[in-house]
Amino acid sequence: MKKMVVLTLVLVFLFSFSILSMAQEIKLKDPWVSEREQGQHGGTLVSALLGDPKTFNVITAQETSSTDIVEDYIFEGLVSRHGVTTEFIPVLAKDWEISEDGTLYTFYLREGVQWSDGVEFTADDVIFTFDVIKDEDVPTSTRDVMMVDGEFPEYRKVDKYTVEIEIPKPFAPFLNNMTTFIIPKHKLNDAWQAGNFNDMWGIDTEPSEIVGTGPFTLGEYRAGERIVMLRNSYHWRRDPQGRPLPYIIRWVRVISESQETQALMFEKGQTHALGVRGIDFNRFKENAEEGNYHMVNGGPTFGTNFLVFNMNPRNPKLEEQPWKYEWFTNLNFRRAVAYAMDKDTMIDQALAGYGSKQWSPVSAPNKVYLNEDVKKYPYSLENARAELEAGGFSWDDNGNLVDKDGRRVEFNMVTNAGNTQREAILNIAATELRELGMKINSTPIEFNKLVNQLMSEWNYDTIIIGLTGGVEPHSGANVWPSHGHLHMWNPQQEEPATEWEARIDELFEKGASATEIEERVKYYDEFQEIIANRVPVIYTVTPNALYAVRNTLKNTQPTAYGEMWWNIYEQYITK
Amino acid sequence: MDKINQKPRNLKPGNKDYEFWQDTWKRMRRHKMAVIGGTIIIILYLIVIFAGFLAPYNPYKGFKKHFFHPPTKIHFTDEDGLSWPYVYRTESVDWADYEIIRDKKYPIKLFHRGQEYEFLGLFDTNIHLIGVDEPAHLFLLGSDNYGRDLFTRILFGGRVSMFIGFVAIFITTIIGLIVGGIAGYYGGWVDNILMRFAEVIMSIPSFYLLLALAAVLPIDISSTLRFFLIISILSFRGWAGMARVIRGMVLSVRNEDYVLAAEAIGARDPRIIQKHVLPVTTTYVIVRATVSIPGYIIMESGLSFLGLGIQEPNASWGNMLTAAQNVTKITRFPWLLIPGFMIFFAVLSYNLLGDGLRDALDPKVTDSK
Repeated sequence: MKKMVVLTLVLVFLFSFSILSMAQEIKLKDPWVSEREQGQHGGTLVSALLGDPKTFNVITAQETSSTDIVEDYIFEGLVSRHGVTTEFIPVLAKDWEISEDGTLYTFYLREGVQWSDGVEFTADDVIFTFDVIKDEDVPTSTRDVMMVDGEFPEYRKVDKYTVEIEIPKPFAPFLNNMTTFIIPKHKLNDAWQAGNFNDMWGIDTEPSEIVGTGPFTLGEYRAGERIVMLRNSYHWRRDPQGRPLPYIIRWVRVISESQETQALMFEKGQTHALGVRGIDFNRFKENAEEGNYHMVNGGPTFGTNFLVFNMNPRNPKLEEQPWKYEWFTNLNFRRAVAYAMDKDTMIDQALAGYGSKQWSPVSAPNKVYLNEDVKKYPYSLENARAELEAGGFSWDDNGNLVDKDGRRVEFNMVTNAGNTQREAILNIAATELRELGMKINSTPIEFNKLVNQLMSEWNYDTIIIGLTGGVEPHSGANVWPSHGHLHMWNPQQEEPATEWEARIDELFEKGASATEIEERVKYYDEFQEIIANRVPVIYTVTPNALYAVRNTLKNTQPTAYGEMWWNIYEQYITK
Repeated sequence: MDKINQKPRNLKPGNKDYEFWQDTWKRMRRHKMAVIGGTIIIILYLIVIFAGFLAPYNPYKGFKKHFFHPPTKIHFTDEDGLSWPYVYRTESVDWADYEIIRDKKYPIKLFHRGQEYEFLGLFDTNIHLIGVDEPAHLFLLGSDNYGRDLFTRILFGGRVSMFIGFVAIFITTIIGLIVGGIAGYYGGWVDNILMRFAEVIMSIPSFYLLLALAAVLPIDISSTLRFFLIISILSFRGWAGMARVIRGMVLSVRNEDYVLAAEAIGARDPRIIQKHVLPVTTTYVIVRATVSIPGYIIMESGLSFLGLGIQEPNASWGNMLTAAQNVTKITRFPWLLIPGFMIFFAVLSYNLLGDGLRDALDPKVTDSK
């Protein structure tokens, strides 16, 4: 009897559920269909993460440990860049138009896309996202990036599936800003109206509350242990047979702060893929067959490593040591240092042979904007000595380098502790400069201290540091123009200190407002030539993106730009 | 006419002091392990003191094309049987992979003229005990990430590791003896204040003090000086434990007859403390010093591991070992772990010696044992 009751109840429940879902039937009109081979649905993917997220709020998230979780996997933008070609691809927008004068952008949204709780995604969500970003009380770096000519663009809903954005003047990098991640209005509007947006979706949020359009949803988060992500059954991508993607049902991301531990986990067969360090590459390659995985060399990464000189006249240390300003602003001196960078040895010893030399401020894999014909400074201590002599330096009887006033050339060179590649680059560079007769105090220091010296205290001599780099050259607008906050050698200038810095300011402005790609390339080419000529920063070597991928994981295509998981939605696991 | 012997102590047979040290030495010699430990330590000190002469290279000299080079194979025989030891040159064929080129034999030369160094800080010379001519290399224990000779760096690195403890012990002992002696001898409120002060000092967390110090010290001083500074400052914290023990020992002899007698004949306090009270603690101080030196050796390696100790390009056993923190390096270039063995040997030897010393110096141990 009891059984009957239970059975009836279950039937009634199921029936009512099916009526409910029928009432909400939303038809996906514009699915995206995978062109890769048909995979098997199911399976659990395991990978490793370097750190704990600080928030799941994609708008306020700043650090990579947070964005690595939410961006692209849980939340998506209107457009995105392809992981291999780096060209713009439609995501939540199926298509877009740019008016002839380059000021009006129209985005046509995919119809029938659903949030992971089943609610339909519409133009209201896009408008809501822009409202939130525009709100001065919401701490997000996206707002500054979105500004064109100091103004936030005007945006409006045309209909349920169309959004228009108008910017005050043509601004080519603007499409890049449309990769901004869209958040659900129905979940966050109340909180935003009440002024609580910044506290929403912290790491203690109930996972099912976090709703996105991406291929995965949050399943479980255990601080310091793991993040489990579950397949979003409402996702809008389809496999070649027309069934919803992703193939993978569960994605377990184990948190392990040590790369060494991550490597061991992969070797023991616990994870499916691993970003490999150069030093480990050969060892992994030798065991590939036994471990049932293969190695991928994704070519040079976008990240850069370079040496920067302090040419800031506001350096508080200059009161005691005014001569350092003279050395560092001496072009011959900088060129001499550039000639002393033994990049072959750096690749061999710091990157274990898996890296490439960099000469230009544009990242090496950025084929569209990279200017390969900039001035290069191949390793040569003779050239370095010649430059030093030309700059008024000479050597005393003990072989020590002295400036024109007979003062011994001595300065500090620091990098952030814990980054073994940079520490090795620092050691190699310092050794060569000592060979030139300079006295170099080289030491790794704590990262935050280094950033303070670079950004606010301005009291360093030279620093070896890196920038993340990217495809759009205008993303360097905080670095290269003389007013930039990260214009490291002399930040936030009111008036450009030198003619060449003034020219770079001009080039960046022209490059941003030109709409034709050929025209833009011309401006950014000149900018790269100036930097290579004037060497305010000296580029060193760039590591390659190296991966080990388990053979049971299919449809993978790791690249330096998209890294391992850019096409996670079409990757699948064979039994 | 008899002359008055001016020497306060007479270390000749028949003198009490002499007998004590002689007995100690006898007991010490019976302690086989302690003798072995002591011998190893003496050898280690000789080696690191003469590092410049014994090492074939300069510790900073990197052979760019010969990084992670395995230990050079030394040949003792050729076609005609036994021969003077010689090596072959090697050439890099792949990343950290070297091929031996057998076109010419490079004999190992005694008193080879190589790179310049300062002999015992006295004069510059370029004579090394052994060496080979370029382009061959003599990497007795292989080379490191930058192509520097590991053997050379172990010898030079040992200087820091082996001598670092002395400074600290010197400082802790002096402060410990003075404070402990005064507190124990006078007692009362002096004792109370000094001991409470010592307890406050002891409660300072040393690790955070270290982190703070590492951040505050300027980077343009040499890393060895920097490290000595850190260690010295740390030992200003470390005296407290010592002072407590000394104070206890002083307290127990304070009312002995010979101290009272000295007081009765009008000796002044500083003299009594110095001549009659503190000598009681000699054995404790010696043993404690011996046992705490390995502590500083370990501490140096720990600090270097955290990046607070000796910095590149300077060598110490600790920071050399830091370079081997990777499975690939340990499995493919196992010679990088040798500095770890050096730490192990030095620490073990010191502990053995300390053990033996403690037994030998213990006045309760009788010959009948």
